Amino acid sequence: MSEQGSLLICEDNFSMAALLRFTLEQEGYQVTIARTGTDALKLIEANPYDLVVTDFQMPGANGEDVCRAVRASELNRGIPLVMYTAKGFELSADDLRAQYQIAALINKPFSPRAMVRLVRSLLTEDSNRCEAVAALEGA
Amino acid sequence: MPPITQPDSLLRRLVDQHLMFGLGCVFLCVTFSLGLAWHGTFTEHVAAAVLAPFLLLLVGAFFLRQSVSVHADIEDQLREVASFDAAPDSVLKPIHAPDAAAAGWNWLVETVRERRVLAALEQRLSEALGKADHGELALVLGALTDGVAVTNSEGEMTLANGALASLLNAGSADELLGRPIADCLAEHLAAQPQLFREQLLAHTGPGTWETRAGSGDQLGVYRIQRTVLSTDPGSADATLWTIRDITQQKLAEEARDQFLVTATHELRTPLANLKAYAETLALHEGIDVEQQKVFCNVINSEATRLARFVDDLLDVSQMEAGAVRLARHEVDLARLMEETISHVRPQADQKPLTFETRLPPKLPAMFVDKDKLSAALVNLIGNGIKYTPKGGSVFFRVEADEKNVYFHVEDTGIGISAEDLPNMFQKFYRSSDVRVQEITGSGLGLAFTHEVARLHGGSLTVESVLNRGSHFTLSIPISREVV
Repeated sequence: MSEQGSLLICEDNFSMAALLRFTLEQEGYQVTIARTGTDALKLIEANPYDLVVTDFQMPGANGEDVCRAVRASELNRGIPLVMYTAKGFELSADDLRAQYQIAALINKPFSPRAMVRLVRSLLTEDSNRCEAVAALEGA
Repeated sequence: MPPITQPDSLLRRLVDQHLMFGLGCVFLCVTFSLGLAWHGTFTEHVAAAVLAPFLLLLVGAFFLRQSVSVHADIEDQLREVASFDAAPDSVLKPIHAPDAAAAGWNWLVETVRERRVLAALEQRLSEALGKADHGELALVLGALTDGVAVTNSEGEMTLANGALASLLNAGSADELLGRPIADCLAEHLAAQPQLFREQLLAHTGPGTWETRAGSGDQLGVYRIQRTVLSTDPGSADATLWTIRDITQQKLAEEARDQFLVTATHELRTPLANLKAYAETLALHEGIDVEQQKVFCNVINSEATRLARFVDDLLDVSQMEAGAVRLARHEVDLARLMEETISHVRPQADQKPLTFETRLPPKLPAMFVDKDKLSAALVNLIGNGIKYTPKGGSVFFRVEADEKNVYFHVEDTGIGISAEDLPNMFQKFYRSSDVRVQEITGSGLGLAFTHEVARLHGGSLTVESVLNRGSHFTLSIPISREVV
């Protein structure tokens, strides 16, 4: 059921990537995993997606580079962007929102269920979108 | 002292007494003689009439002389003093006479002499103290490890110490005097001299700057502080500069920051997996049994990974506190080697590389801390595996002579640059090489292994060629007596 949408997940940790794929595919999304930042950049240039979820720390390019590439690409310029990170207070959600219009900056560890809710709200006209964002950003 | 008599004052004696007496006598004699002459008698004694007062005057003069000799002496000495420009020490002499004036004079001479002695003493003392002050101050400045300088209103150095001379590559502190400090500091301590010089000269008030020059072995980070010294009215503003080499401090700070970044990541990544998998298992319907098993295994291995990192952290905090203790026992080395190798095999099997081991047929028993030694070796071999790309090889070999047992770990991995080599055993140190940064590591393993070697009385050494491979040797003495 790929009518739900096509997602690009950028995550270098094998286990986390596997779980995100499992969870989101169960919800009916088509999931592509990029294991390195460099792979992510290639995929963004080559294919259209409906939403990109990216980790911050990755080999090759990092999450910020991915955001930049998305906003600069022909195919994926306007899609929702979600970033998550294990870093502490070094990343500023406000700065990233201002620069790349990311929808949410999430801290690890996070709940996969809440992530699904967020993705769903971003891809549909969901009045609970703000709550979904807040649930993950506050975590 | 001869008995002091209290005669009448000089004026009374000279004028009133002697002069009057003399004149009186003269008058009497002349009158008597004239009287006699008038009477016509004793005319042959006219000569006597003239002689008598004359003799009287002579006698009087003699006594007068005696009477004023002290005063004459004083007057002479005073005249001499007036004619000398310099100190009258040798000129003033005491007068030995039973006279109050003499006594007074002597007291005066004595006092003058004492005063002069005291003055001379005072001067010698202050000179000596002055020298002592300067001497001590110079020693203190010379002993300081921070560079110190004082500059005048032109920015030229009027005072500098040895430490500053070394920092600025001058032969001695004296060479720096008169030179403009901003130029010197910018030239020797800044990566961009022009820019830094401008920063220093932007204003004349107090300030603090940090500069960085060189890199790797040649890295120097300096803190420069400028204060305006409070001035006496009348003398120009003086500025005090202190320059401190904070390279080690900076490196330590940066290594620790690097560690915190790594630590946060290393803790949160397994935690994220644990939470995600556990939540999915608990809440998700429609996961088949096989899938559930897979998920549980992931939880298990992530927990192990987390536990290992927490152990690393504890080791580090022990090392920081200097509290690593060895629990030494007689250990069968062959058994220990087996356990160690079985620890690392899974890690080696995960990667397509060759892992070979060679142990001698007989290994001595050793008096060591089994767990720490095993951990140290696991760390070395694990590093070999981590930092060797696919298709490479890691070689673990043990040798022994009468004194020591040598554990060799050789690999054909990415190697260590000459720049990084001296820092390899520092806590938190990780090479800035991209290939190293991409591999997760805390920067603690080698520090720990090195500490274990040291505590056993042994050593850890490394040889390496960048891009060719590395060779670590851990040597532990066999004898119980060492350490």
